[in-house]
Amino acid sequence: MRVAALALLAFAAPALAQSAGQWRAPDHVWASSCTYCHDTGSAPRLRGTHPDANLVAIVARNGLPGMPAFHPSEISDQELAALGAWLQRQPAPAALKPPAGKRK
Amino acid sequence: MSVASFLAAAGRAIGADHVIADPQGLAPFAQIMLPVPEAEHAPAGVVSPQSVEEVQALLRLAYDHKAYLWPTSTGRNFGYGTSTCATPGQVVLDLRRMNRILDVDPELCTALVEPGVTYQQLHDHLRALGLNLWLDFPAPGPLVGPTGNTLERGGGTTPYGDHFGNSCGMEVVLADGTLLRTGMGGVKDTTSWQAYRYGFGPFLDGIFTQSNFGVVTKLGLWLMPAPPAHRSGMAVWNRPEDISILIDTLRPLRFDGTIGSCGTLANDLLALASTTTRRELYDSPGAVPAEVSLRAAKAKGLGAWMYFFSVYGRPDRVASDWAVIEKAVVGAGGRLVPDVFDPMQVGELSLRTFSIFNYTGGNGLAWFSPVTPMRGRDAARQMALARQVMDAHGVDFMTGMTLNGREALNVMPLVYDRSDDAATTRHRACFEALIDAFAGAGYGFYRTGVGFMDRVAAAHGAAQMDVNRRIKRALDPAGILAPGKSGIRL
Repeated sequence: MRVAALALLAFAAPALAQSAGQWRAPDHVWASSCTYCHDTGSAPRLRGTHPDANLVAIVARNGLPGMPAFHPSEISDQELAALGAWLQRQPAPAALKPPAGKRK
Repeated sequence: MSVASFLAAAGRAIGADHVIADPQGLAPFAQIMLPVPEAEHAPAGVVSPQSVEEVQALLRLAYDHKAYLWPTSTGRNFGYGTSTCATPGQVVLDLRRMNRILDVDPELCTALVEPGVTYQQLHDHLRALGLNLWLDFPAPGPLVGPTGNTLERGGGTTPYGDHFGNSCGMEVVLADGTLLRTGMGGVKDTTSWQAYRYGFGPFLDGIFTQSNFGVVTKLGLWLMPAPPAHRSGMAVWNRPEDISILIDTLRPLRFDGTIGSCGTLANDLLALASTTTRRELYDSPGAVPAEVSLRAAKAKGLGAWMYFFSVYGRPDRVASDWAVIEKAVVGAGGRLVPDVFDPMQVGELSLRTFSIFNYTGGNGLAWFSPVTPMRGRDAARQMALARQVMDAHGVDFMTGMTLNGREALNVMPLVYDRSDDAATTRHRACFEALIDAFAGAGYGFYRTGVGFMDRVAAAHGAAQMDVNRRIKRALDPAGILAPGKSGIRL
């Protein structure tokens, strides 16, 4: 029962509490944003390159040509720092995921 | 009374952590992809409330301190102005922290969301609830949200591509703090807010889109039940002049529902730009010549025009609709390539369109967005007109159309390197010349970005501008909200 109740809580959480701090962990941030470009070949590959965590935070906050800036209301400084630290530890993916669907 | 005193008071009201006043923090909000100077559109601060009550408090403070507020939802609006303002010195009212999904009704297939909710968040939420409902995504889907896109009257590619047309009910905070729920939302203990759009009396939702008459704090949405089957494809025509016959061939199939998707009709250069750099394609000054892009497209198995579409329904219907489309496309001189698909037409998120930034490697993007009556001759006339103006300015001709109700939205990206001042100046002149040329030919516009709003508003006539001004004076007499949005001022 306890497991079921916890599962229910987890279920309810997104509707009630996805306010500021919606990100569960760095891999959630990655899978919800970064992966769409950085794992598909449309932007430089990052996983496995062990980028400097501070640089990751600065680039994500300020953007680059072709990359949007991510505002503090979307991802906090602490969440960005955690993302940078997580990314630094990531091994290279086995293979680049091809863009979803066939080439347009 | 100043922006600085407003920001200080705002910090006391909503917490200093949710106010940005320093130049370093503001810099990302001033970034602009449009070919206009950043300084003409730079915000002077950012405030990020988390509740309706905080929005009301900030409006009160803006009135007291004579500050102007520019509301954004996720603050993206790529190629239309991102978070920048129509005039410099406004304070961004950043609603990204208001990101609660307030309701999902699995029977009526509706949702009620706050402005900061993203498509990714809502998509994940529907999956977590085990609901097989699809969202219609705009191009930057995962990073943006339904409220901002709907309020800009943005579009997508599925049968629900008309985002405003599939919205149902708003909550709006007016400049004086009044809370308005539109449609059935005004009824005490309403049971029908997301069920019926029009309410009783005048239908007000439209005046809160592409406008500065209020701050929308909740939006109702209709969601598409996932179809039991679907099939996607690409119809290809080889000659630029085929635009006329292809539109006249596809129109009846869209109108009778055979082609369920709004789809995307791309010209050769737009299809190439996501995988080819300009330097690889044509390393010379001036616009990429038509024959160069067509030759490169044919080498990749593409043509002059590619219509990416989908059919939806029960399996027998999908097969039957597919056969009808194939016969029509082949009969009109095209060919059908099956099972090439755009993920966003089948309920999957993607950011594939972002690869267009690799074309020039710069950050320059401006969408020129005239409306095309869905007739072959009008589409052909618009393409010729655009090509002529762009060639004269040395600007590359790309277009991606969606085929909607009775119109196609002819959305043309001007892609350039914003670090190149000469290119930026040239693209601005081109954009202005395009507005004038299209308005002069009797065409209007679906949407535009900061820096071009006054010109586009003027093209729609003095009477519309005057009525908008009168509504503005009635609802926001101090002019607090977003002066200059869509050309509307006190």
